Amino acid sequence: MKWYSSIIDVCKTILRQILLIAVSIGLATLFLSVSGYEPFSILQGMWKGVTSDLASMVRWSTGLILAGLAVCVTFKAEIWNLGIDGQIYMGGAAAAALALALPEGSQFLSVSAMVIVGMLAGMLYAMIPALLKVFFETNEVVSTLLLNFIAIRFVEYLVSGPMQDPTSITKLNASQKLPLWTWIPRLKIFDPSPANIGFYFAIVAVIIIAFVFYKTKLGYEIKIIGTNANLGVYGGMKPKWVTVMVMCISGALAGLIGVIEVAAVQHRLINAFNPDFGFDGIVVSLLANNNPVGIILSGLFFGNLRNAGIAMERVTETPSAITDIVMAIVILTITANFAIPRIRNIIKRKKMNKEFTPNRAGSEN
Amino acid sequence: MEISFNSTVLASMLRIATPLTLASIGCLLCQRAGVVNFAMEGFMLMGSFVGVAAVIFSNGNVWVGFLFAMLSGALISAIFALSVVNFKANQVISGIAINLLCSGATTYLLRTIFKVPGTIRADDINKLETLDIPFLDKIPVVGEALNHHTIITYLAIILVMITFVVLFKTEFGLNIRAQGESEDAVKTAGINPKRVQWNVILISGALSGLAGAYLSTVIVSSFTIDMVQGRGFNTFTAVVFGNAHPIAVWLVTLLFGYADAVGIQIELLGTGISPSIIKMFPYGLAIVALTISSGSAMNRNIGRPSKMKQLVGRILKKPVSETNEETAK
Repeated sequence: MKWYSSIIDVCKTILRQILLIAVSIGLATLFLSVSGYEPFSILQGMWKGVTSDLASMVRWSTGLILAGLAVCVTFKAEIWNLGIDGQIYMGGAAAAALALALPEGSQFLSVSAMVIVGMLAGMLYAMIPALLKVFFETNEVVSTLLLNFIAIRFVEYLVSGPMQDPTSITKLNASQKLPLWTWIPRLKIFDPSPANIGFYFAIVAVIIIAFVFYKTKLGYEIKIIGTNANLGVYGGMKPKWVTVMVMCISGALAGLIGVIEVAAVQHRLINAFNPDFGFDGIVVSLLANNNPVGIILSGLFFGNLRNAGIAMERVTETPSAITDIVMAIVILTITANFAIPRIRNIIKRKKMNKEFTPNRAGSEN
Repeated sequence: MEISFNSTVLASMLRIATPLTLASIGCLLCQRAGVVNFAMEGFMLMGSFVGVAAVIFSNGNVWVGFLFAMLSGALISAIFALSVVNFKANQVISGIAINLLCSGATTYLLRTIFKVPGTIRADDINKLETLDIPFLDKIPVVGEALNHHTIITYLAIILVMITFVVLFKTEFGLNIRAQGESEDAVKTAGINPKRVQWNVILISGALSGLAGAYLSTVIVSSFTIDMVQGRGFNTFTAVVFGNAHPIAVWLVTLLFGYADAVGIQIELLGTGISPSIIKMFPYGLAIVALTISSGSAMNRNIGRPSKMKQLVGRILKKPVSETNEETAK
């Protein structure tokens, strides 16, 4: 093994993912042109995002990177947390409730308190499926999915009942505006856009998670139990403990997204404030091959795509739902591993056929 | 008790449970054949959109809506089958991808074809007529609730019975069950396992499409973005809770329908409980159901007693294995 082989591997992975993205966007472009829209509007939007609208890209990437991390942690341990959306709602709701109750004070203290409370709320909400799984072997895929709907209803209840803005005449499903000292500061260079220092939180979270993965005992346990739980048990690890820890981390990250969405972007608790970051997180993590550092790149990419979709809808009336289609195709192509191994197999089989033309019955299965 | 048990509630239970029942049949066949079908949410959503679209284009013919909804469901399920069966993709992730695809595609098509952002109403729709079956009225207590439903509701119940017979009494059903137990056995018997799985996934797609069309053309006459609202996941829970047995699963879907129906009734009576809280109820029930039946959640564990059952069994009486362990010590 030569020293540069790992670099070549990384380059290969990146190239393969770029190929997948190209295929997905190509298909989406095909859809657009068939249905009579401007076919290259996605690409134009994405180009515009990189060149002139970095702010919105950062705004979307913040949530996507954090969601990707939350998914990645659980995927590594072969656990499914599909309830990230629900945990986002809970984190946001808790932060908003705290912000409305806090007395006027320093921004730093109140924001830190909100971040901690929001992360705790997300963590606690993630504990429900985790504990059910540990004690009753409840399938966490379904329980987390169902908890999403409960969380959505819960926020709906809060903003139409106890936390509804009493001064509002129109009776919108939203809470009061949060007081100024509880806002998470926005980035000054991107002034009018809601891009905020949550992006730095996301980067710090990536570094922490990468450290946990590669340098701590927990990370090692996650890796072993994710690849072979029996081996882990044999080595004296406790899969149940790892399940709980992993769900805690995942829920806390999701809660942080909720805090950022409420305290930095919307500045109030709104019904359905979460733009489906949870499921997009799955795409982000899959594209990054569950690698925390890769998640920054893929988060930025999908943030740009999201932003392109929205900008496109505003300018050319192309529905932004096309970005969902792109994401779905990306997931399908990654998990199904469609093209590449197939082509490789065909080449291999051709070679084999050339070398040993008799004995065909043996090679078929 | 007055609210929760009368013929109105029972009738609306049957009406609400119909889509769940239809979808659950396909899902339980998949489960039996070793396919974890999370994509039903997407199939149903596609079916509900295509159902309404076809009704609008055919000037209100509901049957055209049903036909195209089933076709579209089957078409989407073909993508799912391709990735899960032929390319051996992860079943859960593929299911999620299909859900995302259908959510995006229906929103996209709604914008593209009808130029509206959120909801499309089918105005001149020939609603399905309710059937009047005279002998049902004579049954005491439940007779009134059983009568006067659309044909799809009765069809769903008949399909449950047919599924029961097919699954346990025919070769087709035997192949499906064998596929879930051991793929090698199926191969040895000279049957193509891929074909078995393709069949059940296509059936599931078509039935879920029909279920979706029922939601959008019979229960209401409009399509709203993401109108399925977790019913696909609830169906999956019902299948897990019913241990993939057709009759048991049907009863569980009725239970979910009942939870919904009581919720609606409470909301109508105006007891002051927020409707959002009431709407949480079916999901909470599903989680409880899942917990009770858990341990047999994934197909390879069909037939194994659930963790909860084991715990309850341990409390009620000492199982043999435990005493053995003690004597061994």
